[in-house]
Amino acid sequence: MAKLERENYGTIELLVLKALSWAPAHGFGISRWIELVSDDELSVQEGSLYPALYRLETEGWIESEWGVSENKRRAKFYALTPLGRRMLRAEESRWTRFVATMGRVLAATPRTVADQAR
Amino acid sequence: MKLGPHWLRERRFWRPRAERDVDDELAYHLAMRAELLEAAGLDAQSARDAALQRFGDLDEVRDRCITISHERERRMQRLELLGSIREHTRYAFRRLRAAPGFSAAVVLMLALGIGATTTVFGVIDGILLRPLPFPQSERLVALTHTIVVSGISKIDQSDATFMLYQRHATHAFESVGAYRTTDVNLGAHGGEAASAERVVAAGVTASLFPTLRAAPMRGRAFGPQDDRPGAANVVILSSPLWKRRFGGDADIIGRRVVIDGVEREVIGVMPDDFHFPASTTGLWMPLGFDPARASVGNFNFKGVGRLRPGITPETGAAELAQVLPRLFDEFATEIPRKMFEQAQMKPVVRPLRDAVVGDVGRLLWILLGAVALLLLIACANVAGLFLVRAEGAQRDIAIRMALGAGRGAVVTQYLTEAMLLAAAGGVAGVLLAFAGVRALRVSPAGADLPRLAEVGLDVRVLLFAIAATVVSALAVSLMPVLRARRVAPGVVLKEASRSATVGRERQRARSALVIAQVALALVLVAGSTLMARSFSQLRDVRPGFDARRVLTVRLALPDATYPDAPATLGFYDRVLERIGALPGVSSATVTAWLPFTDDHNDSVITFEDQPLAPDAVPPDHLITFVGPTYFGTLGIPIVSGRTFERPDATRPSSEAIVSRSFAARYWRGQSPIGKKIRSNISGPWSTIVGVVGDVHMESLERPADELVYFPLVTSDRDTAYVPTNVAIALRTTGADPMSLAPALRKIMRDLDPTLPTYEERPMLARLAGATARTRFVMLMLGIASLVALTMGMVGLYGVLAYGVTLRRREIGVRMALGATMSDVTRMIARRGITLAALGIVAGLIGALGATRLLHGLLYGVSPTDPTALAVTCIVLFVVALVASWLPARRAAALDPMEALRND
Repeated sequence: MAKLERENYGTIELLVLKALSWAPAHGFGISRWIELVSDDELSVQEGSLYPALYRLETEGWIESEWGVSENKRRAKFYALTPLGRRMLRAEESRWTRFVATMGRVLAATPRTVADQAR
Repeated sequence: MKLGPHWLRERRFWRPRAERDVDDELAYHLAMRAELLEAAGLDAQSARDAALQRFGDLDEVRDRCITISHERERRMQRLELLGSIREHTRYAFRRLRAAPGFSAAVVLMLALGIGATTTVFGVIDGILLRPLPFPQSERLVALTHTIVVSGISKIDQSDATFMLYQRHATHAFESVGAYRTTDVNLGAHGGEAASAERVVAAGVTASLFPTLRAAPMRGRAFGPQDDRPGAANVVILSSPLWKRRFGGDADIIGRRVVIDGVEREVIGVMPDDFHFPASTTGLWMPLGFDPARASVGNFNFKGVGRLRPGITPETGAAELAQVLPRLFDEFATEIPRKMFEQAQMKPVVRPLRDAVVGDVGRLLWILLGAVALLLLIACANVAGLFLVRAEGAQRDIAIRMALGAGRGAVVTQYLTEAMLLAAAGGVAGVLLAFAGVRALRVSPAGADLPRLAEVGLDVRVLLFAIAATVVSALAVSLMPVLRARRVAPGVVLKEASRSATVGRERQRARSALVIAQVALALVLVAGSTLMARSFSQLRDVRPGFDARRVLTVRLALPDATYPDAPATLGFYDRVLERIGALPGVSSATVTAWLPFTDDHNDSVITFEDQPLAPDAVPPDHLITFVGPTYFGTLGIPIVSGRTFERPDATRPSSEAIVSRSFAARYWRGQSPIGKKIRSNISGPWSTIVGVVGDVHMESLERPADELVYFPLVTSDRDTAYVPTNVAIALRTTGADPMSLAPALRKIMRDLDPTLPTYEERPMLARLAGATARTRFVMLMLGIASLVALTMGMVGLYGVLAYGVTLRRREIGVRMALGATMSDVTRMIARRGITLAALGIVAGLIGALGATRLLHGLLYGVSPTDPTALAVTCIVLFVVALVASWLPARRAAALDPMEALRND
């Protein structure tokens, strides 16, 4: 299982934004969604989710509201803001570009490198 | 034991909200995860543990979330605050724009007050507070001596004492330097007459610049090879002189210039901001001390030292005192050792800045006090205006409060308005100060303030201006703010639009402010009246000569072209002959020292008929050398005897003339004619041939000097001596002595084109310089008083006028019941005079204390001089009358029917 505990901006935030793009959810719900959607491949250290949520809220990409959960408990729900939605789209395209570039680099053969050098 | 959800839940109520929320959120997550795990088959406890494990470091996550939460809260609070400030400011701006007269008056008064205070503080900062512009200048000290000799109490250094200290006082001092200021003739290479000029110069030891840690910006400083007797002649220029006279020539180093007839090579140029010893110093030359020919007893040089780190001035002085007795071991002199010891010379070491600044400190602090008073008066005036405005805005505020604005909002409103106006006044004030300091630098109104070139508006002065602005803003809004807290909206809204009760309360406050203004203005006026009396007393002092109709000019004959007595005297004879031939000249003379010239000549005097006790120290007196026509030209009466005979360069004269007070001191009752004295402890005697009236040579405040006059040609160790640094004075028959200045200049040019003359001015101008400082203070205080009086008058007028408006009904009733116009006028005027009288009494008490501060600057007048105080009271009374007159007349002009009907 790949463990992702990035501290700075990047993966966790992208996952959170994507999770919330479907519907508002509380922290636990987001954690479950990541588990389920990635078939348990991505196991985010659950604790590191919350600082990420708080940071995103400070930036204004998501907003929070206390509400009542499915099992009648008090929980804090998060939702994307319009700004957050825009940023999600930007982050998604950045990620896809990154993945494509990495793919090209990893697929480079010695011959192609030598060609460039001439 | 790690924190679990159970623990979190229990302590919920005692924590601040942010932390509670975080705890709740995390607790929820953990509970949900535990449930899931339980559903998958674990027991409750293992489920909880596993949930905690999956979570990670609970404490760390909790802390981070709480920190982020707090940061967010803080940021939101800041934004709210900024928003609220912006709102208040915009509202205040709108309100002030709707009252342009009020705003303009307030800004003007505050600008005057803050501007004046900032200007004076700027001057104080530049002169008194700022350290000298040298690295580690707090270790720079001035080296002088105290001495116990009749006639003088302080002396500087001789080349012998300086060299002695330089050799031996190395424990306390890192280095020492010496200098002497002088005037020199600067001619261009080749010596064209047109470009010859007189320049203030300083002779310095090679060690002086390193002691100060100053270095030239071009070329090099003096080294030991330049400061030896017989060294090649060199000079260092100042930057202003280099730019002005040599056009900032980039090839100045190596160029040769002619100074006092001697060719010198320019080896360096000092930086723009180097002003030592004075801002007028144009060039520096090496002193070239020669140990073999050192003169022990001629203290013509000023000493500067740099103390080693950690050494105090007292320690430095102690080391110098230890070294001084070796003076006689190391330098040859005719002065007997015992006499020296009797003189009790003691070295004195004090900070260089104190020596440079001198006694001007007191004057400046007094000026600061005066402008501070002015600022207070301005604030009092503005506070009164604010009170009126607050009254007018009462309904507005009551409505706002009824609609929910808290008392805090109202207070904030007042403060915001006050701050805006004060800020505008502060900015205008700083601009005024800028102009003021500029003006002062260009023409310091006659008072020669030291370090004036260094005065400018720097950070500290600006901070002072800001502080003054803030204090003013608080001061003027204090009263309205205090009142606002007591306003009950219900009461205000129910009353008629102008309630007599509340209005009268405000009137009391305003009256108190006016009384305060009058009191402060009285202190200022008292100060300037005392200075005015001082000034007139000083002007009345008879200087002992007749300064009217006398033209003077100074010149210095260089040794190169006038090497001996006959050459010098010949020049003087030719000049006087030609001047005498001019129409409009009744007499002319040559003298080595004109009164009120910045020069100083003194010498010990010994008496043939009053021999000294063995090794006692002879008294010291001022001396000078004059031609026979001197007394006639300057109008100094000859009390007995005669003037000198015509000078002859081949036969040095042994005559002397003394002033009346000198004769009274040494030969009380008897005539001194025929007695013999000399300006030395040994050598030939001079015979007194005449006694003349007393003359003030240097200051009008001190008693007349006991002076000894010697003729132009005297003998100095077997050769004839004629002074070469002299002044020429001529008395004209016409009213304006300056009208002869062109003719005089032509004569000088015809006789010697390479010789520049300087300080060409009437004797009256020199005399005016003696009263310059007193006049400066008088002017400054006078201006402050005028402004204060105007403000006080405006304030009093305002209160009375408003009082009339308040009491319209009352006046209407009185007039309807039979009061005449003059009755009403008297009633209003009486109120004005009462206010003024209270202010005058309060002011007198303050003045009695405050004027004591002037005692160093006053002459012939005590700080509690009754005449001056009486005049002050009368002036204020008259001003109060004038201020009351207009409102009184308006009251009397009221139509009773109108007054009763309105309102």
